[in-house]
Amino acid sequence: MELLTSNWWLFDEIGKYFLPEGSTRRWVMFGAILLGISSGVIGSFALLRKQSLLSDAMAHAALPGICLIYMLTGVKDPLLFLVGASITGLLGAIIVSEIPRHTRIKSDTAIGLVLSVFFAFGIVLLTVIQKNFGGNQAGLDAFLFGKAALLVRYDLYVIGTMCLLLIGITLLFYKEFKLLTFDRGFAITLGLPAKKLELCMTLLIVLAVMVGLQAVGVVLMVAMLIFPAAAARQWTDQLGRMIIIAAFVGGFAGVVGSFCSAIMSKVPTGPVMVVVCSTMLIFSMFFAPNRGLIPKWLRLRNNRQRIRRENILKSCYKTCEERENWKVIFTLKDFTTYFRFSNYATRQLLHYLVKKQRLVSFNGGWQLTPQGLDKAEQIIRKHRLWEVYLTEKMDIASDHVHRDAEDIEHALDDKTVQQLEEELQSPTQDPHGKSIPNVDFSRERKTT
Amino acid sequence: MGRESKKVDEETVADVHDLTVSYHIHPVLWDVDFQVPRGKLMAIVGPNGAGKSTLIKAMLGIIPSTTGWVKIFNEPYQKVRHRIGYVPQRGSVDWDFPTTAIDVVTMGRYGKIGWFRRPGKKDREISYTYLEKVGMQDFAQRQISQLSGGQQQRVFLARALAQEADIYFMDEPFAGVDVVTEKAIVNLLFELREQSKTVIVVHHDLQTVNEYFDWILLLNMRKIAIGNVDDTFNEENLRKTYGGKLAILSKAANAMTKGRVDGIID
Amino acid sequence: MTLMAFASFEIWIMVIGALVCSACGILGCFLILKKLALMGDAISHAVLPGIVVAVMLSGSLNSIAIFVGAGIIGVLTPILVDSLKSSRLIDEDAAIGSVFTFLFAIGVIMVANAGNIDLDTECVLYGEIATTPFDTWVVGGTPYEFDGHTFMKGGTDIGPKSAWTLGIVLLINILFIFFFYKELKISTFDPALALSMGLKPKLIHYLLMFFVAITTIASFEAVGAIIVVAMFIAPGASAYLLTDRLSLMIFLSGIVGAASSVLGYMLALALGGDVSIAGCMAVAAGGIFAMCFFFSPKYGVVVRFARRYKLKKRFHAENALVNMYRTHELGERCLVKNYRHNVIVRFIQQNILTEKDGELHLTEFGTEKAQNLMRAHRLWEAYIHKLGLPEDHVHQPADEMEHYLTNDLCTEIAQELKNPQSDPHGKPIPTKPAL
Repeated sequence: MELLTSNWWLFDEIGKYFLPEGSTRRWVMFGAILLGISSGVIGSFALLRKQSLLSDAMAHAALPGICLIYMLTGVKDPLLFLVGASITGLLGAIIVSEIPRHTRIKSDTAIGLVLSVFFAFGIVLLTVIQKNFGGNQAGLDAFLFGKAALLVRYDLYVIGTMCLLLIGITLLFYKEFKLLTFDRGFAITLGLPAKKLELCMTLLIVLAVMVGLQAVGVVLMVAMLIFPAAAARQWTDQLGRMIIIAAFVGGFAGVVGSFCSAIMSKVPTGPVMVVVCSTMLIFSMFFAPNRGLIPKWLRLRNNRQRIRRENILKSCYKTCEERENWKVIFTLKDFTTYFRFSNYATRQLLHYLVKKQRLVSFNGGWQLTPQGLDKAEQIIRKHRLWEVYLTEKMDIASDHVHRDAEDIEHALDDKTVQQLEEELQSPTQDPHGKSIPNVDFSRERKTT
Repeated sequence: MGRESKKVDEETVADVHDLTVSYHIHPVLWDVDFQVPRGKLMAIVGPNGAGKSTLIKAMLGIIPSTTGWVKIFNEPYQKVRHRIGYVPQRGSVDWDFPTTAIDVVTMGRYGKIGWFRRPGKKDREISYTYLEKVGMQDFAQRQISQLSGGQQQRVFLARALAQEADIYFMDEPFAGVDVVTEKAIVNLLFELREQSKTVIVVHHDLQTVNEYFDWILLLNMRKIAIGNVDDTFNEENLRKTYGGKLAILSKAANAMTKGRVDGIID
Repeated sequence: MTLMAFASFEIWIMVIGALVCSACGILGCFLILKKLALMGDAISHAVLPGIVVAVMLSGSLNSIAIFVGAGIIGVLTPILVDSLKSSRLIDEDAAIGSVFTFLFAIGVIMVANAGNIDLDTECVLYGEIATTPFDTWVVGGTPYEFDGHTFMKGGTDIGPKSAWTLGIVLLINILFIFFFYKELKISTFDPALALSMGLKPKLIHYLLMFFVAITTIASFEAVGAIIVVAMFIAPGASAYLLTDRLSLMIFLSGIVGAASSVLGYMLALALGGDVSIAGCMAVAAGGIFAMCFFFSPKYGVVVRFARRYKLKKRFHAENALVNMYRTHELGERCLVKNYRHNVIVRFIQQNILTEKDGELHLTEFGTEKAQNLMRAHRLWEAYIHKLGLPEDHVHQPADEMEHYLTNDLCTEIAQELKNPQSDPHGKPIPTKPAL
């Protein structure tokens, strides 16, 4: 609470990283960054191989391995923990793949089974340690939800090495991992040892789990594998970039997560990092330029508006065509009753059309401009050509084609229209007997 | 026995001998035995579940075979991998994978690049040439999920071409493609034949067999017939392939599976 | 008196454990069959923030508010996962993983920050089953205040509160399965069919999720949020390996659940008693699954391996028998020295062979057996020859197939081939032996 009294507490906290006594904080931050990078890199492959939840099972399965190693040796050494965790983690992965091979139990059940039973076993061992090894257990406890503050320099050397190893192996086998992930069958025909490479990737996941063990803990480790990779996926369509972005996202989450837990001493680091990461995923899912939901929604909305505008022009054209008068003036009411749009929406659409000089305001009403007429003609042409195409080439009854043409008229591009016209040998009438406007027709109309 | 004495034609590029393949121990191909001569466009034709794709995959070692062997250019396929091109079924991969069309084509070069090395400039140029060849050069940097089905198929084809192989295996390249793509693929097939390369294609459209292919293998859990299209692709063989009663074969397969898996024979 | 109390405390732990395991186990059957095991995993993690909020508001782990909150999250989690999946931005696998880790992380942070409530991280991870028997329910007493807490004076102690809660939840689960049995069964087996029959598989799906969440909450105090996953999956998975019938599978999963509880408690006692009892119960459930995996009478890996081994031995014997028959058929002498000693001994025991002066003779029974095999062999040769295999390719497949073909199948083949008299090599096919 004391912190909050100062307006500059945040800067004070950040400042602590640069002071000599802030060395622990710097170590912790380095550790968290390494974790973010390594889990971002291998998490990308796990995500694309749809093995996120298998990684979850492996992370949980690391717990009994760590406890067993500790019970056997009685020392807390990250290298030894790596050995223990690799053995049980790999055993878990093997069991997950063997159960569905030999029985009718599906892999999701196998994953859940390994995850919970191995974890329960780990918990039992942890309580045994608590009873028999006394206070030391506090250290192992941190492996559940992480306690980055407990990282010491030696731990950092070890996880730094692991992280480098992980990145090195991924770089070396990048091409092979990529091909195997994308198209396993093809990879085999090229002579890649699929099984060995898959084992290698599984081992890398164990390695990433180990890097994150002290900072995030086994329970939530999988989140660090999923979130950065899934967030990165939204921003790019290339694997290489995705991996780099994932590493950055993971590293950033590491910095923020370790900072938050440094100032909130009660909270374990793991959950904080998960919340930071998931916020980044949520942000990416909404705002990423191509795949993001909001850009996508905007594109959809623009398209809908365009279709509405095209429909307005089309309806004007049809009315003019019926009355054989190309200078009909339409009132707002004409549009609102015809389309059942609200007044406001209609005004907006009309305003846009006037701005684009498709319509012109005239005596409190609206009239088609020559450009507007051209545009409307194009749409009508697409509509009626498509109707002809459906009746003639697809043998669909002429009273069934209108609805379909309503949709397609907004989507056909000029090239397709040209092909369509060639294939149908430039028809002049649609199946309902209405004329299909073409270039000559439009010239003729303009002169009258 | 007469097995060893079977005359292997010099021009035989693929020799499949008594191949039996099981999927999860359930036999799907029974003692398939045939040879493919050089420079043929061969269609593998048969009803759904006849084991067409399985045959190709077993020939390429993607799935293991129970008995029998396959020789390509008179060698086990492991030794001649660099001379084999493969087009898998389009549905067999996740098209949402973050990669571009040119990147997929470059994957065809991986076998030639070897371990630890990155595709170089030359590989990329070669890949681009083949992408051009299938008329997809404008889509080189496009994410693969944004391509239409036909375009995806053409990318796969370009990848196989980038393998610069002598024998090609294609798994349903015509499935779900538009007319333009189908034409483009057929022209490519003809071009490959002119270079006296061999192409084995899993095909499901009986109407186009005569037009596209000169050699045919009719398959329905076992080989029905093989030979040139004019002689082999006849009504009788088709009836055997599509109308043949195979209840016994599948019952026997079931009995065998049960015995092998559970150790039970009723 | 003290001894009595201790004993009943032990029994209560086992009873509560058994209630947890069976309540979870019977629902778990459907999770397994619907391939929703991981959704169950996700829900059990995701309810944590709901629990924490409810505990903060009501101050106790035993309140209706928790069940309401959990029910909502239980239905919300699959909806969230489904909508993430349908946005096509991430796959189902990652969608499940991100939803539950996010909610669980928030829950853990809340637990860590929520100073004086009745929850800590240990409880979240593995529950406090050892303390549940002491929180008993007293009826008919008069409440009095002491040291800021409300206690009951007098009245009748009718057992631990968790036992009552879990008992009720188990009963509700049983009733749910009982009344919706056919709907659950069809929508598990074939959701499309269920939809076409107007059975609302979606509703059933969310109801199931709702009950999973409720059960998780009821079990939370005893076993925590992670170990409960084992209770959901392990009993059902074990039962799945023991039977082919759904109703029996559900029943067995309940039994396996109860057994896990008892065995788990034994294990905990063996380890000194001062260890995570819930963890031991989950390990026991895993152990039972491992036993089923290896030794289930029908699907056990070891059992099947043993059966296959036995079958292989039988095939060897049958091959020898066929060989003897062939030798006789050719009119040659069948000599003892050509066969393995133990095969001959067994055949003589089984009244298949007689031995005289180093020469073997098939008995009538033996001939019949051999003829059966020979018939299968040659019929199969004829059959695959007809399918188009050249005659020099048919022997090897038939050699294997002869062991698998049943009499019925042989008859069917014979009919299909219009009762052939000889195989492709011109050898006679023995007729169907008189039964």
